[in-house]
Amino acid sequence: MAETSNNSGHRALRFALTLLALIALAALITVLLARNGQRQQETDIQLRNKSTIDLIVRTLRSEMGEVRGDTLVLAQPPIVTRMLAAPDDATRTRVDKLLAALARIRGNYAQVRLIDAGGREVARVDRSGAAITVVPVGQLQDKHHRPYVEATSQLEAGQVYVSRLDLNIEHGQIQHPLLPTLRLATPVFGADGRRLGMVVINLDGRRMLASIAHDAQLASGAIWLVDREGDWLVGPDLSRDWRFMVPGQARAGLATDLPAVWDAVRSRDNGQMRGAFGLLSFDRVMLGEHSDPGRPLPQLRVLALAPRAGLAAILLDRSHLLVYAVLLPILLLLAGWVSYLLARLARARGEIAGNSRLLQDIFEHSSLSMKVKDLQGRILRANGAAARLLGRDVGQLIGQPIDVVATEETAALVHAHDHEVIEGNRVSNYEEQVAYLGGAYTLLTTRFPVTDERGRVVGVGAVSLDITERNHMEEWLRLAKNQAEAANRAKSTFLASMSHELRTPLNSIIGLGELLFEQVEENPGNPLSKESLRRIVGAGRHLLALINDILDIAKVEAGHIDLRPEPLLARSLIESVFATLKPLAVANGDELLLDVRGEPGILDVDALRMRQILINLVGNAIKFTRDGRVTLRVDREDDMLRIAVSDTGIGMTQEQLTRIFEPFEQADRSISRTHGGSGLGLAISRQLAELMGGRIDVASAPGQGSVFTLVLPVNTPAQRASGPATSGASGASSLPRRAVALVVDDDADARDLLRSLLERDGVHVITAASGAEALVLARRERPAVMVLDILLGDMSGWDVLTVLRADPDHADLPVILCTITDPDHRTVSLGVIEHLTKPIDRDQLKKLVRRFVGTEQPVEVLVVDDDDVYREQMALALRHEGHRVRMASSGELALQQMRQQAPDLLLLDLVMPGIDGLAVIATMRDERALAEIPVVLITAADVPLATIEQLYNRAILLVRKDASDLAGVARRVGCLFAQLGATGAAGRDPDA
Amino acid sequence: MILYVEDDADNAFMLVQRLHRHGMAVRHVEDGEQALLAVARDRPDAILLDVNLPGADGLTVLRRLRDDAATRDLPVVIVSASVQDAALSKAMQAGADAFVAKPIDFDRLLQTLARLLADKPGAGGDC
Repeated sequence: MAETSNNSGHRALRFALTLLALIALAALITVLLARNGQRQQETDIQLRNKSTIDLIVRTLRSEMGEVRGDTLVLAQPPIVTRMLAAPDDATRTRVDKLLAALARIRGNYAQVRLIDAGGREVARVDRSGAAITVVPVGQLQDKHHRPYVEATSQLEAGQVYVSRLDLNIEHGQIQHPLLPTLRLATPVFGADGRRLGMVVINLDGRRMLASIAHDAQLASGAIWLVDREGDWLVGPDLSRDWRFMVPGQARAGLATDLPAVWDAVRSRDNGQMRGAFGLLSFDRVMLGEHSDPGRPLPQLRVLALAPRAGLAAILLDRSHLLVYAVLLPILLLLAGWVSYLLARLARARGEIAGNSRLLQDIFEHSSLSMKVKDLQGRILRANGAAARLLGRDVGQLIGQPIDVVATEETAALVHAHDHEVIEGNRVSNYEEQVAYLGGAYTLLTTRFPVTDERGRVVGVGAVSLDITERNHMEEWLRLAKNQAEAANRAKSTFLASMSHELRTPLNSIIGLGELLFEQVEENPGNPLSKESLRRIVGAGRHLLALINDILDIAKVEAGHIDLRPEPLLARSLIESVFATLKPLAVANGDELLLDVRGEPGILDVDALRMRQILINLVGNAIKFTRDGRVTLRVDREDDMLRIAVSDTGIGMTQEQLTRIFEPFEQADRSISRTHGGSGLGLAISRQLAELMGGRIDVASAPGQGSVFTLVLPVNTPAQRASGPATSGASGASSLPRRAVALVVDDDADARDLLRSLLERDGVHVITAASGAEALVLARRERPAVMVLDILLGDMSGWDVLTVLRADPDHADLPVILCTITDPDHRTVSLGVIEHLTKPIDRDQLKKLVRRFVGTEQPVEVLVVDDDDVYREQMALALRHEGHRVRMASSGELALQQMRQQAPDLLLLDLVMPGIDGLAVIATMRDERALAEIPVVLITAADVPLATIEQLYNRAILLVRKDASDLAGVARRVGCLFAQLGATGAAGRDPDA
Repeated sequence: MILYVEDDADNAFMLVQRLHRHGMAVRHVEDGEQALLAVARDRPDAILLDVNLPGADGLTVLRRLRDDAATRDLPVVIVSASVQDAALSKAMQAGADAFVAKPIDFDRLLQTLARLLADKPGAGGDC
């Protein structure tokens, strides 16, 4: 804003100054022209006035000559002489006639007379207007005292007296109207030379003055007439004319009124001059050679005085107005244009200066090296960056060839490149390795021809970027990248080959171990060798697990793990982990507790990996806790599922805590010897948890035990089972019920009592603390039986029942009702199976629940496995759990045994020589007596269970063949039996 | 008769012993060339083929077998200590019928062999 106003201010000022200058110039020119015009005009005036004066003077002279001639002529005739000498009447008459004729002819003679020697008039003619009067003798006067008579009396013949021009005086008074008069007289001599008298003519000056006035019209300015003394005869002011004639009045004339003019005029006969007074032209007329004695000869001066025309007057001449009217806008336009041009010029100049400064600054301060060289390679200009590269100050470089600061090789290179650019007259880029005094560099140089204004190449410019560092950096990065890639490749190759190299001998060890074991079994010798072999095989398998873990973590770290998430009931997964590890806990003397608070909901996770994490966390807790307690606490927090595994084990220091998630780190290196494990489990688990979008936290202190918490995002349970199902969903009722009992009680103590009571009996229990939760769990978990307290916090057990029975899916859910009151009619209408009155008879409850849920009732199990070790171990574990066990070492034997006596449960190895597990199942399918026997398939391989179930049209449970899991399987046999029994029943065809 | 192609003497010794114990006739050779010769001469019922062999490796042998009309349908089980997915898929692409990782789950190997031999046209019938 300020900038703009400043600019416009400048512009206005510039415009004004330009305009003033132009106006001044125009005025000067005008004044000069005017002055010239003035001079011209003055010259014109003077010329004209001179002509006018000449004309007047000529007229005056001519008139004077005429009068003079008349005077002289009149003195000649004899009659005049006679009249003066001896007048008689006849003579007088003739003389009077003569005088009258002359007066008549001339018209401007006021009087013509003859005066005798005595000074008396002898004849006289007067003229008054047009009338000529011959004055009678009696009226003739004596004039001898008159000065002109006296003066004339002194003259010789032929001489003429001329008076000054004055006013006629009659009887002592100035005659009015004023009569300017001039007297001319000449003596008259007789034949004998005697002076007889004189002729006198009074000239009436009015005609002369009128003539002058007439001629004066030709002149510019005023025509004045003064006499010899300068007194006004015809002057600027009528009242001041003829003042000298008036007695008692001061004289008035040039001397008094215009002394400057008078000074200029008095000493000269004629001339022209300019002065402050104006333009003056003047001339004089001598009236005669003789005049009054003692007085200068009379003369008349004629002056023309034109005022000098003022310049202002000329400039303001009306005729100029149009010129001004045209000139002024032109001047304005001109001023505008000029000031615009000036402004543009100034701006352009400013821009050029600015650009030049900018270029100079760029040149000076650029970090790019810049040089200009002439055709001979001498440096003309160089900036600071160039000087630094070259290793000399700029001042030392100017005028020098590059050779003084470069190695020979570099100089040759630079010259060659310069030469190319000059020859080719084009811009080129070079990457150059150069060595200057300043050091060795890799430069990226742009060379360009420098041309003069006519486009001729006069030199070469070079702009260089020092890419030495960058090249080093690039080189370094490239090496680092290569190294990293090589290291990565090496790592992958190493892992692959390590895996390969380890596996190959391990193959022999395990294989031969198993072979020996088989042989020792067939020919029992030293029991110690058998145990040794068992340990060899076990160690080999441990080594294999270790290798698998190492590959696993390598995969996770390389991001090569693909998670396959699928919707999964968190509770069932957790419970399965719990069941799997329970035997290990027992073996370690630990109490393993499961505490599920609320409904953990549905997870969308990779079940295998989730299980891996939980097994690792819980397994660790058990491993590091001896004769203590491991608690698996599950709770929901909004969208997060929190599974905390806490133990009462040895705990860890802060320093150990920082390392435990590192691969191959265990809190104590001696631990792997005492506790086993690869030390990779936590590292894998944490990475997997993070891949799943969750995390694993840990809190611990030495001796205080540890808490590992897995936090995972939970899919908000879409209300899959909420709300009564419609009648159209009848197909849902065919869904198998799970072998669990749902205990519903709002009193936590009562709930825990019931739970522990049933769990001790091998019943799988889930609990609900409210009616709403009970409904949700009933729908979601599909328990085999519900134990329902009638007094709940949010609604009564009756309400729960009513809602439940309205849902066809749960219309047949067996419900055991616990009340403190006696049963009423509603128990029948709402399909209550049994009614228990508090305090509850525990045995009765257990018996009721067992009707619907599998328990640890002794079960007869047929274990079918060709692996003698496994078979024996399993049998041992099962017997330990109180089951009856039979064994078969092949499919054929198993079928034979079953046909003799059907077992409650078949534990079937999948892979066997001869008739394998699948063949056994297939055969059982076709034999009515065997079709109902529940089958638990034991396999080391990943078998698509769904496919098997589909193929053989029966429910089968799959248990992974795992030496460490034997006891777990054995412990779960009761549950498995119940589970399969229930599902088998659900899927059974009623007609079969 | 089963042909076992294996360059590791311990591995070969172990597996041959175990297979013999299960009543199977096994012939062992140490490299690819011998393997191809043995196939032509002995006409085995199935081949257990290690991948990492001196000279022509297992996959090369496998491809040659698949290129020959006479051996196109011969059951081949790749037995390898290279257990990466890539190794597996290479073997399958080369035309292997099954893949068994080392250390060998012997039961699984037996099962696999049983399946392959049972599927073999003309091999079964009286079982």
